[in-house]
Amino acid sequence: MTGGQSAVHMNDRHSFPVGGLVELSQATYQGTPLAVVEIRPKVFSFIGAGGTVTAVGGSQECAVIDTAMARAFLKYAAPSLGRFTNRLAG
Amino acid sequence: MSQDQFVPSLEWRVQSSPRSAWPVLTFNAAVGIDLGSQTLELIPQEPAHTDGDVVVWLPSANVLAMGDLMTNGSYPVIDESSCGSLHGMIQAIERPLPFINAETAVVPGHGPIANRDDLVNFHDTLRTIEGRVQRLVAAGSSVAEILAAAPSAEFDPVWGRGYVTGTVFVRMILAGLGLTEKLR
Repeated sequence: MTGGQSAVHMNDRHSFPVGGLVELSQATYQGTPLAVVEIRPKVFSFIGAGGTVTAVGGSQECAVIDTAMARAFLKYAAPSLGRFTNRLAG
Repeated sequence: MSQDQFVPSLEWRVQSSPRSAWPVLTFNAAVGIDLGSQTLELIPQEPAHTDGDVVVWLPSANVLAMGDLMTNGSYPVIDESSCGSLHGMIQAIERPLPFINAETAVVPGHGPIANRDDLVNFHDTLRTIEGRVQRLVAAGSSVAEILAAAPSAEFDPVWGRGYVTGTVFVRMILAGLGLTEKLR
């Protein structure tokens, strides 16, 4: 930091101060292993980086309950969800 | 999602999402989604964590997905830039309590799967801290004086171990009351 201004991280959609809370939270999340819990038959929770995503399988449709951005889900949780697709459907 | 966001207390700028990422269904009253053997009840909330909070209730599975209205084992983030407030969080937690029971699986936005007792404990913690902060604000205390009083101190060993420490959480509460200060 110089001149009273904070150094800033920037990526395609975000900017936040170096050493600030947002950076700290990202570092914390990146160290979180992904856990998959079947909390009920055909109801799975994916607990890991950035929060929890829950997938619900019905007899006709499936639903994904996300707590934040779908893009984050697609990047981190969807690959694991694929392993369970046959147990969610039908 | 349609507008750039800036969270002053975090100095965090987030650009708007592309139009393809915007919701295709919006609602301001409870909505049911039929999956066949399961039904989801989407229950919108008044501003709490943000101004777009939804609780999802699966009655046949007895599962309640709280999103970021509950964090299990850590203090929640309150986004004052989108009208979030601690009081809104507390009210959002109180609404589902009458229709869940001891067997309900409560899914938090962060942390392990919880139950009704965990949700009540989380509520009581937030309610206690809110009461202390309200009394300090009503007494005319400054932000520095409120932080020095450490109104969350007894809960910090359990809830403040993550990046949202007790001090950070109290600053977020104050930001939600319009008493903004950098969260560094």
